[in-house]
Amino acid sequence: MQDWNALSDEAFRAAARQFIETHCPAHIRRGEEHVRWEQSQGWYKAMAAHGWLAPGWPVEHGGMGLKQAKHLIYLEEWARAGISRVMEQGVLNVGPVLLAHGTPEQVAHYLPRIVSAEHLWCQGFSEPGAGSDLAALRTEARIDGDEFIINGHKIWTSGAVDANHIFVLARTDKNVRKQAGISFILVDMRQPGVTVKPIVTINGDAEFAEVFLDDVRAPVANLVGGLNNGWKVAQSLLGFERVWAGSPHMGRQAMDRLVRVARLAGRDRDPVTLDRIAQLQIDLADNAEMYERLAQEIRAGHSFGFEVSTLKIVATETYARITELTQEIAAERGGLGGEVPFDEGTADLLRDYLTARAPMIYGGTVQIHRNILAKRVLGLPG
Amino acid sequence: MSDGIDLTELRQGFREVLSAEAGPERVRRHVHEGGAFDRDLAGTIAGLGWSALGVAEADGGLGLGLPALAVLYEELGRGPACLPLMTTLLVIDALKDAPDSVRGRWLPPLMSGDLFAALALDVGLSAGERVTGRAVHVLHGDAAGLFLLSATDGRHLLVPREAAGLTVLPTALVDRTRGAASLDLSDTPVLPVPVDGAALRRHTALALACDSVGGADAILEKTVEYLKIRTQFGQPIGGFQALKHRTANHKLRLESARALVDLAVRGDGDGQRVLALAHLARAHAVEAYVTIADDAVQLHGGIGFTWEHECHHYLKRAWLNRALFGGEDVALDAAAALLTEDVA
Repeated sequence: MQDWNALSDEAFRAAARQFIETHCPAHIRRGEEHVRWEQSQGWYKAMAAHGWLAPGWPVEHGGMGLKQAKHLIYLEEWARAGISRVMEQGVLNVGPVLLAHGTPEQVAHYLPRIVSAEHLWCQGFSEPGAGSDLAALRTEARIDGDEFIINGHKIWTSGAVDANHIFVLARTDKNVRKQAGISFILVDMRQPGVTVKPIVTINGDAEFAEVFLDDVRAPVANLVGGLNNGWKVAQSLLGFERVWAGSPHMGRQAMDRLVRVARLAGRDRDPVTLDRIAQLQIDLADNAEMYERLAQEIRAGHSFGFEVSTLKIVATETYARITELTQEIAAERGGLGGEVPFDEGTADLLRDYLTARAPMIYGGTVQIHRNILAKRVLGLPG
Repeated sequence: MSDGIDLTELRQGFREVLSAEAGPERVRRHVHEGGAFDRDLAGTIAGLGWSALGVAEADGGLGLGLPALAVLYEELGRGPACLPLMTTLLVIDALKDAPDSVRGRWLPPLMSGDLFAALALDVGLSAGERVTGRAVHVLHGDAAGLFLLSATDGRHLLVPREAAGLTVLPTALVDRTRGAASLDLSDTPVLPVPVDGAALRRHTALALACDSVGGADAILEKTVEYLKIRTQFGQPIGGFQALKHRTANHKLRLESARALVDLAVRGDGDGQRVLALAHLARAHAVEAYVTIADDAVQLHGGIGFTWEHECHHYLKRAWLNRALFGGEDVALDAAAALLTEDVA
């Protein structure tokens, strides 16, 4: 078995790049866009077959056993190649959470089925009344013999249309502080009572869904991390993922498109446009440097804290502003939908602009991250 | 008061009809079904005389001026109305100096709502009575039966849709509440008409400015309502100071745009300054509209990112307003040129 951590960063990057170039098909290199399972499963299975599917998992579970520094490099190479997110909840969240909080039986049952693509996971956290205030969630799980009976309504569930398993946060005690009465439960979606209703976004994509749970059953053995301990389990999910959400990869891709559209639209010699592009380049360079500093901390084996909220704000807002300028400098063509024709090529301007609205909302809105920053980093009251 | 008409009452009348006949549900369904021109709605409003608002009384119209039209543009923007009225009203106004024969031929069907018109500025066309050329992204060109082309050589030309050699190709727009088309003219017979080009440009800029003020006002109002009913952390999110200030800033943007647009509609002063002011009002109003509609998505959170919600109708309409008739930069360049002329 290859010891990836023994490679130099450069050698590992080269290996990752070669793997991607050899196996990743062009039709799923669509950046931030959502790709359905029927298109992405070939790539998923290729990653699994070659041992490149689960970078952060231990080798004995089919992972690469990568240290976080190497893991970041792999993610950077994914981003460089413009690879879309493909049913990543099992690898990204379920595996790590079970390794940290699960029983040996849960680990033995679920991890191999993620690698084999038998189980496709989605995340049942948000609810119509519990978004920013996630702990206010109202989905309920009551114990009936050796089963949970679950009732509730989840929303903004990415990948729910293709998934066959969902991990849910559900209320198991209503008489305690709201965070203290929540449990983390693994649920098989292939049963009566589970209804998935796609949500169409302003881009016209069915990227998210609502998931209705009506007397849905899960064995008590599917509880992760103990009864009423779900809030802590969920919090542990949100660490490493947030570092990546703050990387400049989305902004970089958007900047490439901005420069391309500036050329296509004949604005690449216009001093006003160039000033504004330069300003955004500075912001992007800032973002990259802030991310790199945190990556260095991680490489040095240091832990990181709530500063990661700063990165998320900087990265998503910079990305959004770049797409705004792209749309703006297209001038008259900024009003056109679909692939917009220029003299020497086409660009879908609106899609990029609209897509860039979402990261400021999902994974904690930039307002919530400002609250975290104010409270946890600056120590302001609230 | 303007022209003896109470503009507040006039506004109420427009608003009542549009909210009854073209409420959010209707707009949503219409946009979902493919969008652009809502023919049923056009049929409903045909008898209400909206198209005749600016036509001289001698020609069978209501003889109202720009302040009354501005109210209508604003209310159409509030809807947002899926109607090709803006350009129809612009063309009707542009034809006021046309000969009797032209007015007699075209104004009656335009006023009755049987016919809609579209307008293209700065079109490069060959000389002569038959012209060849191309006009792109022509607002409401998909719905229009009559086109007014303002050529780069200063001529203004009327072209009926059925004219020989004219091809009309619908264009996919950002905004699904309106339509557009490209026009290809190949040795097409045209009818030159006398049009005050500066007045037409001014009117066009003001129509876009008013549509933007109306749209920004509507989406801000809807957003504020949402902040009052959306509860998180045990209170309406509109109670959080960060969101109060954010929304208050949007209100400041809107009111400052509205003030400039009102001033530009009144249009006191010499022609050059009045035209420059209209361009500035358009740029300012569109900027406010884009900013407010964009942030409305964020303030609504996830629900604002859905197709089902109306946020995107306004956001996309705002971007189209920015792009129309040469785009915002053309408006700013024109204003700068006009304003610096007497300085130089």
